[in-house]
Amino acid sequence: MGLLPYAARDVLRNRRRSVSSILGVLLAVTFVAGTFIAIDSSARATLDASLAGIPGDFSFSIYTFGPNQVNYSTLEQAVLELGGVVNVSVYRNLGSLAFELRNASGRVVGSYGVSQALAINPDRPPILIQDSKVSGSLTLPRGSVGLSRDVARTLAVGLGDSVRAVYALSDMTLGTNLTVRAIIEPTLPTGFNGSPPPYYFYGGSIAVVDIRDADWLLAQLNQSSTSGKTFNGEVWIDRTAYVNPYDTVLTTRNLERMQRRLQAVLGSQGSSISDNILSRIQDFSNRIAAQRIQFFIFSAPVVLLGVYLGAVGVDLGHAERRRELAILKTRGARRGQLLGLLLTEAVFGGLIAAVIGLAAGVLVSRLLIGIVNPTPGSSPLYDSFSLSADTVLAVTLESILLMAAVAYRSAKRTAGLPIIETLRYYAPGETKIHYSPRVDVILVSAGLLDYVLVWWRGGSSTNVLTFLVGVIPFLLLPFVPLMLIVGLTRLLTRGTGKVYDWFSHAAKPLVGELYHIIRRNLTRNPRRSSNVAIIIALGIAFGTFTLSTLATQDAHTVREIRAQVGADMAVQPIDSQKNLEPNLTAVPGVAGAVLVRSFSSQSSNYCCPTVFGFDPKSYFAVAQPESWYFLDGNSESARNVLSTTGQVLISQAFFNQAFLEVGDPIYLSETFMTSNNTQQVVQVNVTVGGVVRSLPGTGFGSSSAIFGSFDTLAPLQGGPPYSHSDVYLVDLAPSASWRSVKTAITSDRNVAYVTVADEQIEALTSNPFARALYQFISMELLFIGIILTVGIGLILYAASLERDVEFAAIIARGSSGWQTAKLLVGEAFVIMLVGLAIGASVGIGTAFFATQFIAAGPPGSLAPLVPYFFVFPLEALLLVLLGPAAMLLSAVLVSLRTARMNVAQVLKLRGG
Amino acid sequence: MPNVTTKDVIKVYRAGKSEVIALRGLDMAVSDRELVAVRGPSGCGKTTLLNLLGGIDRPTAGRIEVNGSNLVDLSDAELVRYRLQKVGFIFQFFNLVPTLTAEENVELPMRLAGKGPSARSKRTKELLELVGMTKRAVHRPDELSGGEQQRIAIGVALANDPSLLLADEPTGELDTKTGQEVLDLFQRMNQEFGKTIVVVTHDARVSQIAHRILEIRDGKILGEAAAA
Repeated sequence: MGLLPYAARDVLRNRRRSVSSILGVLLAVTFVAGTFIAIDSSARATLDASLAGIPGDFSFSIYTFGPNQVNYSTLEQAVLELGGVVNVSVYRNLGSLAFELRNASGRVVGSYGVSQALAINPDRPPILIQDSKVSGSLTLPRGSVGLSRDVARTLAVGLGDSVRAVYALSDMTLGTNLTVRAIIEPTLPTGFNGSPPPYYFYGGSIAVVDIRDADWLLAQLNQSSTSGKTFNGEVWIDRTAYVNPYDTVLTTRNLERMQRRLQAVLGSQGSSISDNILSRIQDFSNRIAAQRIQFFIFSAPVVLLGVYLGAVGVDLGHAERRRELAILKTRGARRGQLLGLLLTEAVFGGLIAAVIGLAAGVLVSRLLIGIVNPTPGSSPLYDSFSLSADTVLAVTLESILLMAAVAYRSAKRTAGLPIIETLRYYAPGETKIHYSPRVDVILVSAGLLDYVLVWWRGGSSTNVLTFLVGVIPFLLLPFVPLMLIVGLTRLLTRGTGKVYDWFSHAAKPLVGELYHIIRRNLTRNPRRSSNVAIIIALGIAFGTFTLSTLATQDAHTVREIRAQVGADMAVQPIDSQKNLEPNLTAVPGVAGAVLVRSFSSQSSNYCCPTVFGFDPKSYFAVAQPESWYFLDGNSESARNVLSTTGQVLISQAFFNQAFLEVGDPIYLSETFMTSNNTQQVVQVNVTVGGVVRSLPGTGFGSSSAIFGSFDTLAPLQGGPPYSHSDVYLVDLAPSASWRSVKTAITSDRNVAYVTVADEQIEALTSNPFARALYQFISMELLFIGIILTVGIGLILYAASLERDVEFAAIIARGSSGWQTAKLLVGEAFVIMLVGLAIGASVGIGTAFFATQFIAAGPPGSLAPLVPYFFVFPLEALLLVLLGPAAMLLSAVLVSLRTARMNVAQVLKLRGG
Repeated sequence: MPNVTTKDVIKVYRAGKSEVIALRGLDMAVSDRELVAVRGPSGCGKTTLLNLLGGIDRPTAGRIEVNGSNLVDLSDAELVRYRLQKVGFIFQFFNLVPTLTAEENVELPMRLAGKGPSARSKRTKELLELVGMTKRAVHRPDELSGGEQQRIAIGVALANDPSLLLADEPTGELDTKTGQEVLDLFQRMNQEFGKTIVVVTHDARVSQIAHRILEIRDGKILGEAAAA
């Protein structure tokens, strides 16, 4: 404890060292804080909007009768006198009324049924009317009425006009004339989100009279009842005092107690109370909790990178202070005290990182707020941010724990260094990589074993063993990429210094003969190199993995859509008797169209394929199947098979299920009723000419299929229309707009439905959830970019400070400043190359395996018809190229200081 | 003909708002193949003088001529070449590159000068033998004693065969015996190899090997003390 003030002073006074120590954790907590604040703000705005539209914090209804019958004003007053109640609206629902407009002769010239006739207290109206725009006055004398705007417009009445009210559900001959004194434009409360409560808009229109005249009006309509009265009410409480969305337990307690007090006022008989707040608060609370967990998991790469950057920063800070700490030891400080001092400093750093992270998180949250919102598009605008106590606590704890975690190992090592070694200018203990590969070997082995098991399961028949062995590896699959990226990257960057030796040759073109020095430096101080290389490698690995996996998945989905649609468009005709091909090809922008006919009533000697017929030449021109459809990759041979009358192609699934071989005969027959009501059987004998995975646009779900030309299947063509179904595949000209072509085709009376591949792809990419995930990942990549550039720049800067004397000595011995700076840049270049090569290889490799093994599906599932072709997208290429370029730029900027250093000052040669 | 001449050399350091005048019109001459010791109290300007002679720093005013060329007139690039070819610097704290072995440290200035591998190798062996460090050639600085590190530093200073050696408290970090060995080495450099040597030191033993001892006070040469 004696060293506590020393720790605080050290953190505050050496700001440069403190910044480089906390930077990694600061970036990580900023991202997490930004995400949490965005979640808080988004959920809070949704909650506020939801609460703004509720019919009272509590709503009630009470039926009073006989001696218990109460007056509305008595009821209103009793509720208002309850502690915590700030307002109440008591009203009566008079049911459905109709309003008629009669001409001078008494003839009805217009009428409108109003489902909600409300009797209100104009001083305390229900919320809808209270927030509405009102022409005229809600102070309604007996014999007057307020109508909603739609009713007034329909009846063409204005203020001062007379309408006749009748009871809609009974005798409509009885009625009374009422003067229109108010026209109401019901308005939803500002910021209201979601559907309005049903209470407001039954039928979309309302009529209001004064609650004082409710009995009078009902009597006029012959609806008066002596059995009792039903009152409804909306109660608003002091939300500031009773409702805390971030404390569900306290809020529940407050609301339950309030409801009990209300119940006591209303009496237990004939009354019911609804709490309109609690469910919303609970929904809000659950949403925040679920989203925090979800996005915290998504944030793992940034947090992990931040932790590594933090570990390197702290390590550099400790290395700088070796001598200072040794001096403390010589003055009597114990090892444990030094460890405590360094950890206390880390905790101070964590607190500072938390404060800055929360402030910066507010800015980041502005970028993330639209992303974390689960219902983008229908959400309210967020003008302010919400910073909950939970978020502050979570971020502060995370920051402190991360700082303590990243500092612990370095602090333990530094505190344990022998005094003699520590006081020397050059401490050999600082150059070694303190690394045990055990955990990483386990991670990589477990990941690879998982892939092997999934692969083995995919090729084995299902039994109890394969099922059991298959389930666990499949459940582990999502975590395997993370295990492989972390394990492999650490093994390759920290396991051996040789990798730096190999890569140092790459610096030769940059620094010439001096590369030798770089090589020695990197090989003999692998710790310094590996600390930076691992951050670069992890950043590049996460980036390339994420981008490649998403691009591969996207390409797969696009292929699936194209395989299902069959071409650019698929058109279903209303009547299969009419040939639509000429109509379709006549549409501007259409390059070609082909009919694909499936015969549903056929049977064969091997159960139960669907038979598809088409003109092979036109089909291949329009559908343009990719090579993966053909097992030998050759579309030409498949086309030749189809062009040979009597030969068909079969799907791979049918080939396997029916144990067929190429050259086997298949007998297709079809039975149908003729127009004479007699049964007719047609038969076609075909030969298997080849096997394909499937063909585009041929009912992608039906795995057992036979494909033949119309010539081969000619006898089946003679059946009635119900014996087959048609679809036309349409190929668009390269510059054609699918929208205008779709509009033109849809206008054809013979067209039932048009499916467009690009439209489905657009719908998929504009899916709010997919978009939110993509945007979040983009933000994450941005942070990874910041860590790789700013973070590494600062680390290089701190590392160059540590080596100032070394560089100055080289300059003093005849090197120019720029030559020495080139050494620094050359070293950085090699480290980046190591990080890039390892990161990109691990990222791409992991993404490749992940996409291939995810494709295998869970145990028991069929292999996907559309294969996963690995895609390395342009964005990933940019990351691989621009990331290191930006890092190199950071290194160049850092080296400028070295180039211009004052050698005499650095070597402390001044004076004396 | 004097090898090193300084004339009215003034050096002013600025530290924030304050100024420190380290040299106040210093005049000095060192002849070719001469071994001169410079003595004086702390802060008198000894090391500043050495920095200026070594081309590590530039004077505020005055002339510094080494073998006829005025260092003040040299461009930065020429000053780098001067440091590389004409002068060898030996530091109190050795200042070896920690990740390089003894022979690699000796090789470093030759690499900077662009010498070929065979020339480098031959010269390195010669120098290691000269400083008595052949057996420790593949050891890194942290594996060497202070005296050994200073011997290597002398080898580094001699790498490109400069005519002028500058040493700043070369025995300051060494014990008596090792310090004496280093001084003997300086004497050998001077006598056998004809190097001009300027040594800044507090070590009284230097008077045994120096031809002259210059006394500096307040940035000026006060006079010469007799060598032993």
